[in-house]
Amino acid sequence: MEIKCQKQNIFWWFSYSTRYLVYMLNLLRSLILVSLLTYKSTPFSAQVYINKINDLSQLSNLHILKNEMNNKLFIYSLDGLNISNGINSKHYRSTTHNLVGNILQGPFVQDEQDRIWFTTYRALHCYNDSLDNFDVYRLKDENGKLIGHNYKIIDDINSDSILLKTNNNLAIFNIEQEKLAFTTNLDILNYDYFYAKFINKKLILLAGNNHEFAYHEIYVDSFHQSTHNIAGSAFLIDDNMLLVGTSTGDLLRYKLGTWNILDRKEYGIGLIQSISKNQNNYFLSGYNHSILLDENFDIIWTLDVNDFTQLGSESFQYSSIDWRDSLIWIGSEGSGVHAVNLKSPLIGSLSLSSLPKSKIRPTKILEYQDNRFLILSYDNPLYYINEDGTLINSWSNHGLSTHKVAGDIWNNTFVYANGGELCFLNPETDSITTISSPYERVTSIVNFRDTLILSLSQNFLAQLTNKNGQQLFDTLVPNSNCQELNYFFHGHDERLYISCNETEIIVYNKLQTTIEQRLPISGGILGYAFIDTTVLLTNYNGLYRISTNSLKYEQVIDKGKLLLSQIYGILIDEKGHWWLSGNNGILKYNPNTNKAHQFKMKDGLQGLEYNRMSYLKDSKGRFWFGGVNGINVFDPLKVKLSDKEAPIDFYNYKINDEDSREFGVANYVHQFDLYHYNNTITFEFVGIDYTGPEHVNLKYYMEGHDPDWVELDENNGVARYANLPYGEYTFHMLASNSDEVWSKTGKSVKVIVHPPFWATWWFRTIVGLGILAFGYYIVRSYYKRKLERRDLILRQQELKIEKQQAIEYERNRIASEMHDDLGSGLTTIKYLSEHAIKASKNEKENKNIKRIADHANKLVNNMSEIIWAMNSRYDTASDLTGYIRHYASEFLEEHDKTITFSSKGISHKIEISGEKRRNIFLVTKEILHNFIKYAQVDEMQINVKLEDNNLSIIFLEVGNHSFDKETAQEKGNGLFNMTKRMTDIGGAITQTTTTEGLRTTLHYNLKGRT
Amino acid sequence: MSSTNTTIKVAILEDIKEVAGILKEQLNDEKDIECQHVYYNAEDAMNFLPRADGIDILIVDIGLPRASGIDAIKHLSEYCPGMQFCMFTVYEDDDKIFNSLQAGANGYILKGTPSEKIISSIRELNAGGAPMSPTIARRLITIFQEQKVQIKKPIDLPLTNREFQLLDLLKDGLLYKEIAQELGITVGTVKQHIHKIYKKLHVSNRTEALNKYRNT
Repeated sequence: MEIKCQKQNIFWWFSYSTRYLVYMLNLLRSLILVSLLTYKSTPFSAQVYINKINDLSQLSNLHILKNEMNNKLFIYSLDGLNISNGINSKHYRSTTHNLVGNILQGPFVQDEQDRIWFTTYRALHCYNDSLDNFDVYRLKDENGKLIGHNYKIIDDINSDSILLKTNNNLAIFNIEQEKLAFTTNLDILNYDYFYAKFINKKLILLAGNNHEFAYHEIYVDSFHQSTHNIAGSAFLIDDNMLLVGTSTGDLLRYKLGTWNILDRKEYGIGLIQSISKNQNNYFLSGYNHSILLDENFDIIWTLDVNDFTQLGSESFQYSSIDWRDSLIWIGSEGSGVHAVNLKSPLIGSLSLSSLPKSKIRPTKILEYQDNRFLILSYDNPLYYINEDGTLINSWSNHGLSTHKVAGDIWNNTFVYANGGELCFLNPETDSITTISSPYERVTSIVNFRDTLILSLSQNFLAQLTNKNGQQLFDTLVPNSNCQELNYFFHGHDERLYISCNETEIIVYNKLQTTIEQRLPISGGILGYAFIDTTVLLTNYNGLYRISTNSLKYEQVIDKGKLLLSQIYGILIDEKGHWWLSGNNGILKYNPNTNKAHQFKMKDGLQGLEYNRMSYLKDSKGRFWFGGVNGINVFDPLKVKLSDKEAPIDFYNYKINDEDSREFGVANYVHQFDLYHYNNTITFEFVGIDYTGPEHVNLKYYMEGHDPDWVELDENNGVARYANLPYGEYTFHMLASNSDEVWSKTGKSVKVIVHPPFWATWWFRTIVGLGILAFGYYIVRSYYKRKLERRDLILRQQELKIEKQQAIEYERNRIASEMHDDLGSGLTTIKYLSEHAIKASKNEKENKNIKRIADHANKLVNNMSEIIWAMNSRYDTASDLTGYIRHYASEFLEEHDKTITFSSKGISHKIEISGEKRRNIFLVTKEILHNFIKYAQVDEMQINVKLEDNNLSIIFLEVGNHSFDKETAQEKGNGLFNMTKRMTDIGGAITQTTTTEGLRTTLHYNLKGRT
Repeated sequence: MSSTNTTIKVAILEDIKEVAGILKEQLNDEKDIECQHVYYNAEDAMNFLPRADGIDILIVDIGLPRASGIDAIKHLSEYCPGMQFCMFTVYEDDDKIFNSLQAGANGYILKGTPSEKIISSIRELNAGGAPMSPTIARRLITIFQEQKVQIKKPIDLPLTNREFQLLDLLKDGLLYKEIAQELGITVGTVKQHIHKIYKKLHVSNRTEALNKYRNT
């Protein structure tokens, strides 16, 4: 709007600008209102999503509270308390928990610390989430007497006080001090419903029943004042206003304290059972309907009782309400609790309430002009509507209400077939013209670049061109050999894609008028779309992609296999996502990620079943999908999935397959300490999303045990780990919300399986060390024993040796004594004989005496030799050699013979025992005596040598070559004796005559003894 | 140690009266030898000999009734310094001789030897010589070699190399004259060397504990 600028005086300008300002403001306001209206004017009546809370123990007399701290619903009934997470509920009764009484009176109150307060008939209770149990308060009255019954919470009046009725007194319970702060007598016996608020140090109490309620102002220092009785069935204090609902479905607004009615609105919803406010909206629950109001108390939408009965509820009788964010929980008598999602669903719907038959099953949706649409449907007239669903016109004549009308927009008209005619309807001018067609039954009509193509009941297609005002029919695709050629579409190349008997697709080139190819794609053609050089085709089997360059095709299957279903319609948004309608709702497919998201009833779908060919992208870019229950219309770019996280309710755990409380309340457990005897653990958890609990997905992962996350098919999560090995783990639980968007944070809890002490490393180390020590001890004691045995043996040997030595010693002693006695006796004989010789002059006698003495002497010498031989001190080769030499030297010298003595290899380290020494010496003596007796020569060479343990003593009678027979004989006897002596000790004696003389050799082998 | 007197005064300690008597006679038959004292047991000898005057040589029989000849030698070598002890025994290779040599004897006479030899032995002993058998030599070598190893003080002299050499040759059974030839000395010198060796044995016995050496 243009503003003319005039130069006027200031005063005028000021007033003008003020008016202008006011005008602008009003304009702005109405613009806002209009836009708001526009936003809300896609009315969502029956398309509001409601789901029922399952698993409640009782369905009547319900009070509801959503606990913001733990996201659970507290629902009370006559049968105790239910705490629900949307998927399952836990029941608390006085028989199973420390509830005193089962019947709740009055609503729930949540305090600042998020504790939940409620009263049973018999006591005040406070629920403690971390203990999952209750604190029970039995209060005392002003006389100190215990109040035993008739507890009923009225309301919370502050963040720290609860107003309740005890006996028949009104009392204020101070939460922090946990006792009654104030009681008063007030006649509230006849009232069932209460509302209280603390404003400016006074307590405003509304006590009512179905007909009226009393308004009280109570001053806390016990002066109370009752001021008003008002007729009404529901009430709410809203700032300084009092809202009152009536039994006729009207809403009155009073100014608080003045009792002036500010406003009255009539909604006609029957008895108003409750008024709730959340942010700037109001919810009125009536007997027939419930309505959502904006801040001006205008209806945003209406909830019908039928919306509840669809869920199997027989009636809708409000019992209580809790309203948080965009979810409102309504307790309905006898039907349980329903959650109503006030947020507009993602997929909008077209309200067809203005149509005569509001339930239509569209078979085709066409945009005739901007924002005006033609709807074809089963057994309905042709509707011409605005974009908001309001009817412009409809036609049922001229074959337009028959089953399966086929038509398209062509040449600014809607063209369709009717018997043997082709009809052209102009919806704006409401006129129909016809031309005759040669075809009796036309099953579908498609306009492609101003050429109409018709499929006929016979097996060929026809096309209609408008040439120079003349309309000409041509046949197409003869000889296709198909029974049915009903469904087809024109590709953006010059080809027709025709379903042949629903078993193959004929690719017909219009330019060349030939069948280019027959693709073995079965399932018919239900929808189609084009992207560049690709044709997308949908049918009963799913979605196919055909390349227009090569005519190669493939079925598109997403990761979740959602595309393996019947797909009726396909539209592609500006971001390149494919939107598909089918028999499973609406799918949004991302060709880049090959993932599809399935929209659900809660998202506002008209139903799960859509209709073929009933899809449209309008001039505003909105998508229209028609189904058996209506039409969804929405802007695809505005459909955003919620990223609100679904919190985890870890509600139970089992140890060794039995429910356990060992570690406290499941949700509050930080760490499980398990041992080898209780290492089977089961986790039970769900994700909480009340907007669609059945669509919540779960996954879990035991870090340290599982290789990866485990996804569950159901929304009640159970993870069981049997015989968890020793170690430290973290168990993670994660949920996705009802839009299947995974939360970023879930819930984690540590699990430690302690090894029994006999499996711990320190114990094993100790045991290992102990075993080593033990083994060492065993080995040591074995060796010790061995050593001991050896020592024992050694000692025994020592003893033996000692014994032998003792024996030997004794023997030696005896021998020595004998020798001494003998020796001394013999020498005495010698002396005595000498004496006798001296005394006697008789020669003959002397001779005999001398012989005695000589004999005695000889004996002494023999004994001397024995003593030498017996003394082990002289058991060496060098002693033997020395002895022989000394004797031989003396003896031969006595007889004037020369002796040459030599020795080689002799040492005192070489042992020769006494017996051997004696024998060798005796033989030596014999040889020497023989030498003196028989040898004619004067020189003897004696050579003693030891080589390789062979001892040889060589006696060489130098120059003795004679061999006298007689002497030989005598000698022979001697030789025999000598030989015997040598062989007795293992030696030998040899006698040879050499050039040098007679050589006698003694041989003795030491046998390795050194 | 030779006596300055021309007469060699000899005493006899022998328990067989006949033997003692004959020996006495044989000794007295010689002009330069005089034998006045005869004892038949060690106690008497130990008792009376110290009072006896100027005895040069005591002929000791080892096998005596109570205390042995060795005991007598031990005792008398203290009380009668200057007196030489000559063992009178049957066997040469008996350990007894070696033991008595260790105890203080200066030489030995075998009972079986003819009287001339006995007389000459006494004269030799008086003149500073002494007899030794190969076996005794061998044992002495062993002892003195051990001593060589064990002695730390320079006071107790071990044998000289010469003396060791001599013992070695004796041990091998060489006769005195062969030894004398070998060493380039007279036989008398050989015997004198032996005498010295015995003295050294006594000295070393007195200063070191006897049980350092192996006894039978």
